Amino acid sequence: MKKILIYTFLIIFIIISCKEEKVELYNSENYISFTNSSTDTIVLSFFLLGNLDEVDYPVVVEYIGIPVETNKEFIVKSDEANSTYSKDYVTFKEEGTFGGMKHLDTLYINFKNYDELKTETKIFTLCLKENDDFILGDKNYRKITFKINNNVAKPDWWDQNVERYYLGEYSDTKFRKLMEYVEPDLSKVDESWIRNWALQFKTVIDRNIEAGTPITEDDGNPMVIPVRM
Amino acid sequence: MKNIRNLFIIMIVLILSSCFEDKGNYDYKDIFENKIYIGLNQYGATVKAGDSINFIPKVHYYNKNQEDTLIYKWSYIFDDLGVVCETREMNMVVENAEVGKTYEGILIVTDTTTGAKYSQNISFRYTNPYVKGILVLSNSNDKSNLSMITSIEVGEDSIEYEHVDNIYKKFNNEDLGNGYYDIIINTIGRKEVRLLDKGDNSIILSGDSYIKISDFNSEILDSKIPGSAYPKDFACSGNVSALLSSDNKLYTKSFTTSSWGSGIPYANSYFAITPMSYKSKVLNVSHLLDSRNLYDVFLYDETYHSFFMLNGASSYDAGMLYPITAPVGYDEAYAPKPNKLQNYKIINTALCNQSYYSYTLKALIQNINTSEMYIYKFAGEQEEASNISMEVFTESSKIGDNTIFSILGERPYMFFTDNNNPNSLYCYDLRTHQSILIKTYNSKITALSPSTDFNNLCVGLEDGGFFMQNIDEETLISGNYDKVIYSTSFDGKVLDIEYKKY
Repeated sequence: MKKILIYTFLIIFIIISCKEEKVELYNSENYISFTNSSTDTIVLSFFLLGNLDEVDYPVVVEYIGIPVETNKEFIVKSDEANSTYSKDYVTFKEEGTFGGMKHLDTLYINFKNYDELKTETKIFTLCLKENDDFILGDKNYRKITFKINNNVAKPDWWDQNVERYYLGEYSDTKFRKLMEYVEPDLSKVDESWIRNWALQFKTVIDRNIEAGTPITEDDGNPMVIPVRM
Repeated sequence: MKNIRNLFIIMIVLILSSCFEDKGNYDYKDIFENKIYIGLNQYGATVKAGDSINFIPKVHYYNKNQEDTLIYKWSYIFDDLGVVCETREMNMVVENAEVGKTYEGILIVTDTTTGAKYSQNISFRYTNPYVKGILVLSNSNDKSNLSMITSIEVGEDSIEYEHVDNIYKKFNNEDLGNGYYDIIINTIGRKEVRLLDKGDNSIILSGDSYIKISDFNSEILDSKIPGSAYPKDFACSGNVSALLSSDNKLYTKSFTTSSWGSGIPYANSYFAITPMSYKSKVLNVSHLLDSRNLYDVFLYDETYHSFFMLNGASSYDAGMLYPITAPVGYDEAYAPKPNKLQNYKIINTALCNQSYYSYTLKALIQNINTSEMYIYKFAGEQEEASNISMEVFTESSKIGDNTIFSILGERPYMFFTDNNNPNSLYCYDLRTHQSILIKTYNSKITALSPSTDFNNLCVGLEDGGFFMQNIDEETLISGNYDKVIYSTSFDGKVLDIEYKKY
């Protein structure tokens, strides 16, 4: 009898000792950052993009934290102390939104070309700001820097063989004219494409000569494209 | 005494042990006492796939006593195959050898009595038995078929022909498809057979194996001829290739020597998608011509009404266009200059070459004002023409839009079909301006192709008939013109015939 009682009480104590506890969720802050490191400067050349007047550059922002179903807003600002790019020529939305259950958002920075960029490279820095929803994340990903210009410079692929067989001697004027008349896709640079650009360019030059409006170099000499045709 | 004895024993032991590893004492033996020199009936064997590879050693024995003895062991060893034969003579089919691949090897003869080895380098290669022959493109129920007629020499002056159907499927394990209308054979830069279609499916086959290796679009920048045009013709020379589209635009690729890989190999170069222009005007090319071993490509352009040479001889000038000009002081009273044909329409033309630079061009032309037809000829050395002549063509009533031509480049004849009776084949003598009826077939003639020596003419018909007519001088002057060497038939209609010599 005594033993039965002891065992019964033991069983009861065992049962009531296994109480339910909730599984704790990770409960932390939400951190916001760019996906590009601040140490990797983004270089933009209006000229190499095809003599554009403006460009919309995508910037991706991410956050680390508990996913929620509602939208969350974040703030970006220009870092004026670290920017030399004219404020009048850059526009962007200072508020962005992460959609419900999403960790990434893309915002677009609109840069407009202006005269000074032909001779100078300007800097534009964008940075994230904390708000009620977000704390700044990894310190290397809180800012993003752009170097922007409209410079012409001799590209690496315009070498001796390109000069000899296709486009002739390099000049900034010639390169600008090539970009203007041929609009080459500079992401596809190989000998066959260069030859094709040279053929197109030479046809344009020949037509201008026939029309009495020859395309010339800065010194007034006719522009020479040696590609065989 | 005891000490001396012990000393003596020690000395003996030392003496014996000091000689133990003496390597200075040998039994000399000359391992080359049975020296031989190996010659062979051939050192490199090239045979058709399925035939035996045959090496017969001719041995010179320095030791005459060993002639015809069995002291030698023979081993024929080839790269990737290992030892394939261990008898003195090799006469066997090497079963697992790839067709078209050259196998380098060595014959090693070992003197089993001395271990001495003697060797001779050898190699062999199996060729596709279908490399040379006559390719025939036909179409039946909208399905294209590439077939071949091969030849075997069975005795002195005796050749047997064999019709091999559907050679494309034989090597590619799939049907050719449909819509192909023309065969172009190229042996410059890459041995290939090109099949043209009127869409996006023009393909390139290996000239050795007929396996599809590429397609036209992969050779063109942006992977397509601009607009909705399709490939109409193709020509290749030393350093330039030209692609003529159905809208008569010309696209080229050149092979320049550059530091980007010791020259641009054929397979890596692309056709530019800018059509060729001359002095700012885009060319309107109606005829594209090349000739085996001629460095340059030729064309006729209707923008300038001129024959042009497209330079292919020089890597620096490859792709340069030159109008073909007459010599200084040339009198146009007898014949127009090759670059001043604005009053004429070019109906057909053919080119043959005497050397890498010199050529003869013949054309059937028509005066656009009088409709009179002429045989127009000139010879040339690159862009300068000479011996320009023009003579009345006396059979213009037989010529029309459906006439098919075959101008023999090297012989003074032009074969053509009668536009009014397309079953009939005529031969026009360019010297006498007389024509003879070779034969009237049972069906419309749809293709003509001369052999590479111009002594035979293959004729393809709408009902699939195929005839190889002998057209040598003896036949053409004999009066017995209808001399058929071989005939066969294909399913459907014969569209094109090409002789493949390599």
